Amino acid sequence: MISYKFARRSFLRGMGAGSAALMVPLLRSIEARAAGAAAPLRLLIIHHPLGTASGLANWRPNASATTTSFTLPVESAPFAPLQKYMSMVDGVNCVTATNGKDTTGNHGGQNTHEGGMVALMTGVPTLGSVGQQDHCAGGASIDQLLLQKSSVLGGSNFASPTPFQSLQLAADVRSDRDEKAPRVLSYLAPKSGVSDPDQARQPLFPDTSPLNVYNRIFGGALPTGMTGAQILAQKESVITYLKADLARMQTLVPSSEKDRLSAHAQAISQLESSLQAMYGTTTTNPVCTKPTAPPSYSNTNGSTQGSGSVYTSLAGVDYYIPNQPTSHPHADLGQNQLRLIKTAFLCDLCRVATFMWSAGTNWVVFPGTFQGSSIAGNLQSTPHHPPSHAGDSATNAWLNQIDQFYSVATSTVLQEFATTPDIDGNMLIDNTVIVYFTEVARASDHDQRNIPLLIFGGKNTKVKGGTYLKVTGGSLAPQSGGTGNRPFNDVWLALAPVFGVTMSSLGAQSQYTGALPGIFS
Amino acid sequence: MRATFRLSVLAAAALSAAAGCQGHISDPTGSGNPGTAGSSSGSAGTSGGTAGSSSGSAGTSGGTAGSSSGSAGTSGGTAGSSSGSGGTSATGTGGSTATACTPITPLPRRLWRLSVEQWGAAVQTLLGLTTAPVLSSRGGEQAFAFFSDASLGVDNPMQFDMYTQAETVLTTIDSTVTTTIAPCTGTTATAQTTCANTWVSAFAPKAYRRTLDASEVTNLMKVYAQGAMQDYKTGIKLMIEAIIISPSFIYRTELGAPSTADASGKYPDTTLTPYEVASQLAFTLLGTLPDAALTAAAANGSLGTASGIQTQINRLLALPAVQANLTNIVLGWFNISQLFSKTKDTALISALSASEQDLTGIESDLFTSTQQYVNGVLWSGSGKIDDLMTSQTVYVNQRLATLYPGLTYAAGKAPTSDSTFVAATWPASQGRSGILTQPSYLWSASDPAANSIVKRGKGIHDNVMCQDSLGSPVDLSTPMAMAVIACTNPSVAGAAPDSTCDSEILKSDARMAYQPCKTCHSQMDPYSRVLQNFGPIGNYRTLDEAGRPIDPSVTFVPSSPLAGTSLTGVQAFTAALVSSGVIDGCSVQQMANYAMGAELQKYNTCEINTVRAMTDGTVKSLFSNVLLASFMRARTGGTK
Repeated sequence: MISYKFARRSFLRGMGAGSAALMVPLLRSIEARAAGAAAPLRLLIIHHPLGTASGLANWRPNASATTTSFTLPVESAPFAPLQKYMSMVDGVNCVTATNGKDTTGNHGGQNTHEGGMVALMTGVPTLGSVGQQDHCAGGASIDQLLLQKSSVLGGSNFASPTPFQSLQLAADVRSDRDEKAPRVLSYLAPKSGVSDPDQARQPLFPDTSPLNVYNRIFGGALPTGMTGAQILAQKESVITYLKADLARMQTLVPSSEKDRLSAHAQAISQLESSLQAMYGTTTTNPVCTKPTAPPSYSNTNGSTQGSGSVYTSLAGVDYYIPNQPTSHPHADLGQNQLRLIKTAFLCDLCRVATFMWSAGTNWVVFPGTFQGSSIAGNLQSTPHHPPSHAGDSATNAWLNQIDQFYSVATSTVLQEFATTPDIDGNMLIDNTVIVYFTEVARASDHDQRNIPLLIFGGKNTKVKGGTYLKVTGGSLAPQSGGTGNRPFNDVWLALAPVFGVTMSSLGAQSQYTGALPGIFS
Repeated sequence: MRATFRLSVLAAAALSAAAGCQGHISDPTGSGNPGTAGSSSGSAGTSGGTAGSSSGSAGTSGGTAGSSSGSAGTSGGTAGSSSGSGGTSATGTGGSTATACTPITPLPRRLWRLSVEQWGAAVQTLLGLTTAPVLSSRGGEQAFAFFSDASLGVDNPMQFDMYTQAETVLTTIDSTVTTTIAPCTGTTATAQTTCANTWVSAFAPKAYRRTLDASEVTNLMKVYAQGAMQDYKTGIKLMIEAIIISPSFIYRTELGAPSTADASGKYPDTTLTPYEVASQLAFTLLGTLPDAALTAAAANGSLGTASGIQTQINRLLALPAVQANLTNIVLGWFNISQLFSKTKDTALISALSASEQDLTGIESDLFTSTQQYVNGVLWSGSGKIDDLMTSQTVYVNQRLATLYPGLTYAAGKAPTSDSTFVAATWPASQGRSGILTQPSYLWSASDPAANSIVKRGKGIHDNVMCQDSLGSPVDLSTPMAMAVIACTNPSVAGAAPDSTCDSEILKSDARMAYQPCKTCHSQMDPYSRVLQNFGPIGNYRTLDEAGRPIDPSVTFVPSSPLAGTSLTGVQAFTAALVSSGVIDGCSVQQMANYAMGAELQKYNTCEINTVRAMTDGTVKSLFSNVLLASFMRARTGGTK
């Protein structure tokens, strides 16, 4: 571990006057927080694939459970150590909608992995769809929406934005037909003036390489022969030029190109933050410790998998490396990504992050016999998603073990959030709202009623920990029949005020009723 | 005459395709009667006969596809004639069909982000590098994409990756900056600043493919000044870095001359500037920055005229670098590069010695083989797209000669090493024909251990026939679909499977027989079934994976351009593609897609029809006419 040693004077001395002026607000912000100011609130949204198997019985407490007295079944049991921070929400449904031409004819992808990913993260009708199930996001995702609207999440619309504002990371992104909808969590608002839904949506593709992320946000080694400050001053002159070049281009293009260039401007700003991390700024923040560089993971599957219309040509890292059955690169990679987010939060490099274990149509290969359960067909190994619709008991048992695997892998790192001190003396989880969700409720048939949902957070997050929230009174049907469920967007409407944002509606009228009470105090 | 023949047959096909999976143009405004698709019979018959034709700027036509029967390899017929304008109707001698073509939606004024490969090539060209830098972050771009998607932007990982690659480039050129790239004899700061200013005033316009205004040079010199605090070389390197990761470098502009929006906020429609035309020609034909002659033609305004553009196209098409790039574009049309992403069951390569059983090496060999094949046809042979489909030539090294035995070599000279490829001829008994039976194509469109009738069929439907989109595949998890996958009639409760369902053909039989699969697979699968004699690595075979004799006989459905035709085997199929004009007509559409960076959704497109009518079937004529078309340069103004 390398502790950040911040040398403010030498840093500023080594910079040109203009660059130093740019940096002063950032340094003041860091110093202010280091002097004992309250820790910022953060938001982390984690996606895991394919819902539950064979159904909610393995995920939610049994019928005798009460709001505060309940036992977690096998799939959610790995989160038991975090139960006092956790609110389990049971009774929100994914409600899709579309404002455009839907080639699938099912209203924005209802009861599909792809439609679920987009609808749950954006909460608004899609622009339409392309390909088989590639539903095009019709709005910014909730993380980006709150980043724009909240004054406490370090977005660029407010003073003292964090250097990277938000991170989008993943352990794997292989998806059916390489479609975008199931392999993206975060979106910017669609481009205005662009009618083609595929071209109008603005996905923020997640980075699947922990080493790339590390280099980008924590910086690599300094070149020899120069001080970091000297190099930073040079690189800042390049950044200044890039910004001027982009600004010039903005004056020449029609409105249909403005949003694309705005996204590009953000990329340049993030490059600037990366350069500052590499060559310049360090911090007195006592809880910010530069992590060691994560390993570089080789793809264990670089060839097209599948056939017909069920395939992926994307590359990724599987559960184990062929011929090394005791290796666990998928879990290691994902946990390293989550730990990079943890450190980025502690160093206040960003306050918003999304992480996905895999695409909703997951192609990570698992052993055919996994944690004691064997998939039907006596397969040596198989990707996660393709056999998930079979519905037989053997396959469900195998899927159930994979769900438990993702619960364990996630809980392990979240427990570190609960034991890692934050700058205010509390633990990181006390200042972090963590949403753990999946895009369908049941793998075999894509049922999207009672979406499995956990929300974690400690004492400054207003999360009512130790809660099993059985939603009642809504007009939507639960999996068990009758009515009582509510649209998923009601959760986002409840979350927004935690970050000082008032939202009374989100999406089409069918997609919300109002903030869901009971999750936050 | 040849071109108009092609057009008429395909126009008729487009009309008949209205019954397909997705809507086609089916609103004829003319008074002609629908043409009748021809038919043929016989064990290896091909189609031919009389067909209508058309000409005119946006004319459409129809006609009756002829019929033939009899021996393999015959085709013929007399093309009819017609004329038309405005996309209304036409009459052919063999019948008449009227269907309105769809005008191309004009392209807007836009930016076009360079592809990852184009960015690397541009940096290489600009700095004279031995190899191009390679970005690992593609900014949402699909690997192996046929053409660069004009809608893509630069996201955070890609911008960072460009910076990282630029740092590597600066290290590479370090020793040549002051000796070759930007030499300066001055030793004072003032003299070196003058050198830097002079140098960047020439270098940046080359990088940006346009002239720079004074403020841009001033801004670059600020970058130089920061670097020059260390030394002259650092200042120059810093400017190079700024330029190659800048928006002006990564985006091609297609904005036309600067204009002012009207009171309603709308910009006037416009056309590309000569410099933008130079970039268009360069990135299409060279795959990189404009060369000196193109830049000069932009500077003197000659690229503002059709004759000036024609002059440059003619010049460029004679360059080896352009020919090599066009070969790669044609390879991309047939998705040959995708073979690098397709692993294979090692049992299929067991004919090779253990040391030769290197899948990556074989894939590289196969790519080289087909690259030489396309080069041979297009640049040493006739230059005709048709011949790509019918040639019996293959290029092999020693390893491929072992894997694909039975070849005949010119003067008996078989390859003696893996490093040298020699031309050979396929055994006549295998019935191979052209690029569709090149092992690389078959390898790339197959699964690891079995043929994929679906992949091959859809690829041919979309990219070789250029039929309009089949629409979205059905949900394969429904009981109906799962029943068909199990070769069972889904409409009969408890029905037993129709077959043992243990081969690709039996599965295809079920898909073509029953909904919800039938509508689309009856259109796609026949194109692939003619290739069943060629296994997943392109190996010749007479028995399928279940050990049954292969029968590559098919009859095409009414929505096919070869509607009603019955034929056997790939040679008869490619002969029909040639005689019907399907392949030439499709090649125009595909290369227009490439040149526009956007996919035309309709075959029967007025402007593309016009280009089809003008081409003579050679690759030079193909690219020349596509790039000369006015829609390539016209742009709508957009709003403020």
